[in-house]
Amino acid sequence: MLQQVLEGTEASSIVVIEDCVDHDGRPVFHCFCSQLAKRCESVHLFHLENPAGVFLEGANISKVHIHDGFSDPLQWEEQNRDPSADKIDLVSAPDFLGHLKRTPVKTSLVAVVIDSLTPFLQNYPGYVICRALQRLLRARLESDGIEVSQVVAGFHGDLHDDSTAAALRHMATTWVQLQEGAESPTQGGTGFHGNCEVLHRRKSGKVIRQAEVYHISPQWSLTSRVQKTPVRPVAQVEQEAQVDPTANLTFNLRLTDTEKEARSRVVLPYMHHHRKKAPNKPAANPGGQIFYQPDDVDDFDEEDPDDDLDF
Amino acid sequence: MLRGALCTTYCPEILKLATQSGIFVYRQPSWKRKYSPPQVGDSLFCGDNMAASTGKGGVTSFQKKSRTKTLQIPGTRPSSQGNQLLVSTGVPSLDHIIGGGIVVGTVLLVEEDSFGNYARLLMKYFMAEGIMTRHPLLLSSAELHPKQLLRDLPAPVSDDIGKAALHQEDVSSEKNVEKEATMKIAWRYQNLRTEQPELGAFSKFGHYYDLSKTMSSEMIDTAPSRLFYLPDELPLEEQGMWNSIRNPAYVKLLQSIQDVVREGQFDLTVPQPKDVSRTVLRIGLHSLGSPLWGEQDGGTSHDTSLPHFLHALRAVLRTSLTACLITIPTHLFQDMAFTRRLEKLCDSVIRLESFAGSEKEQNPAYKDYHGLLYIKQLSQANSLLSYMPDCNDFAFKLRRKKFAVEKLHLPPELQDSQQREQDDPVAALKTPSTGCFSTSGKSKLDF
Repeated sequence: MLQQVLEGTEASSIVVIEDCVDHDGRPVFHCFCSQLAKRCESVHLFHLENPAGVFLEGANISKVHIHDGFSDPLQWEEQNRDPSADKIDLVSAPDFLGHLKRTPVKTSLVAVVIDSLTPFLQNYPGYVICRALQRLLRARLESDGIEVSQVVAGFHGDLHDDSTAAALRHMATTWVQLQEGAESPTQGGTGFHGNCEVLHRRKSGKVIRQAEVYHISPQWSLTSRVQKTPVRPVAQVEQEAQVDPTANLTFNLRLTDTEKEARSRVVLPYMHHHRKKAPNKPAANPGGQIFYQPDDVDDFDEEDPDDDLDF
Repeated sequence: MLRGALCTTYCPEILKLATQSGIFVYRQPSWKRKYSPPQVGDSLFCGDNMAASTGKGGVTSFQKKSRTKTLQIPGTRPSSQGNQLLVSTGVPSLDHIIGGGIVVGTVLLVEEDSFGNYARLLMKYFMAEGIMTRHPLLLSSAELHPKQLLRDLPAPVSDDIGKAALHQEDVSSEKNVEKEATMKIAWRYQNLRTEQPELGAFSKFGHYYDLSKTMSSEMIDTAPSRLFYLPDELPLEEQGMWNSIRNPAYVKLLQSIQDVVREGQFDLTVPQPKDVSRTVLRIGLHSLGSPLWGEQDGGTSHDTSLPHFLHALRAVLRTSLTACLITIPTHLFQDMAFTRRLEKLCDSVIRLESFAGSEKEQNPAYKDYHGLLYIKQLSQANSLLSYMPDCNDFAFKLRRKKFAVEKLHLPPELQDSQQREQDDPVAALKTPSTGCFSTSGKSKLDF
């Protein structure tokens, strides 16, 4: 599933990559950057935690627009306070779409990569970021010609509380939670591998939750496959051979075919007596009929006192 | 006076004050006396002033049945409890379990499932029902544009086709019955149906819909609708940090609802000329309280805007001919007390829990269903008791063409499961519902 989302076969408008202390999300992020640079016409990279070069190694730089939030996010230096400069500042509310509109070259299909929502979430409540992300997706409606095809954002699971994570998970169509990972040194360079859990929501409403294993090659291409969960022995219904009770007996309990047929023809005491039914009676449902067979001692009194009652 | 209190008064001034403020006055039953202003010796009962029982707002008092004027509005029916009008939610089986439908003037709160799919579906059914009964609509949403929701409504199944479908199902089930071996010993049960019929299947109130087709746009346009899309209504400059406690999004929404109620002449406190035909306004508020409405910190921030909004909304609804369906994603709220407060501020509350993406999907007991439905509260407007459903375990399933709510039937335990008692999912489900007679213990001393 991770590979399909990366390659674009599974459409996903917001992808959030949640990493943790044990497992750094940067390699996966880098794969997304390079893949999106190949797939989309332009990529806007908002980087706040790492310098841009970390993610652009091996990618087509001409297609990538960099919005710098790393060098001076709080705008301490005078020259960065010029609003025309393409710098993100954390003093005002996040407005990703505004940054997109200010870039001179406007193309139609745009992908947005945000290295880490954490600096925004530390300064603003969760709903402000949710709204900014939603505005990105609605960009097409604002008739500027920009259409955002995918947004990839990083999120550090250890730094934020459950409610923020829940709010972002409500908005995201794909949530990748990285669990364990390590470098895997190979001959060409260092690759990475790890476990992750992917929760993907399709437009049709179907929700897919899978545990996967992924590998990243030194050339930053990612392959993933679904990890088969170890089969719990308790969950399997083992069909034991049914013990045949008629075996190993000193007497014979089995029936031959003729005997079985005779048994099916035996008239049991409470069975429906077809003979007693009148031939011209309409076939009423048998659940409602009463069959009364008077005994010898039954005294059928014609004068029923209950008939006098008048409701 | 506390709500629900009853007291007798001999003071005419108190009576006058009470009638002006809308408290019920209970007349001593006197069959011969016609309606007259409340007099000394009458009792005061503090309760809600239900809009449907009187043509004008203000005082009601018990009257003889022949003098009550229930409004005849298409698409509604009177309820068996109290003098109220009911409006269908669009799903007849859901109508059946909440007591016939949504009471006009009340709010039905649907607590969303984790991904919001089924709550969105219920909202679509509610709107589709409004179009079929020609009720005006007011739809608000922050995430999806309301036009997108309205474009995707299920198409109605026309009556002939609906009955034919029912007949077809019956015929096929009868065929199945014939194919079974004729029962020899239990022959009286031969022709009984193997499953319960769908809840509320035989009522004429409420329409059937086909989910695989969408409603045509001409039909959608016949019903006047007002859409409230939050990002459009609140301009960007106001969308900065909302420092004030009163969340401006809710203020705007409330103003919009009040405007529609006033313009559309749904308000019952304003006397209308007799020849104006009245109709019921349907309000659908999709995904209220999600992060896009400005709810932060999952309710722990002590922001009282949403409870204020619900309180004000109910005040508007009580005196007008409206029915409201709200869906709130309460799974995002960390604070259970906040959720409970919202529940208490609404009249009827149901909660949806879907199995998608959770471990309950593999549970064999739930394989026929897509989720569970819990009734948390039912409306108690204008009566002392709410409607009591006969069972409390409901599940819903979404077939390709239909969404239906059914009673949850656990599969029978036909053979001893290989699993241990504590791991067996079916046995684990049985223990909570059996009361004192817990049959789960399989010790050798049981008989």
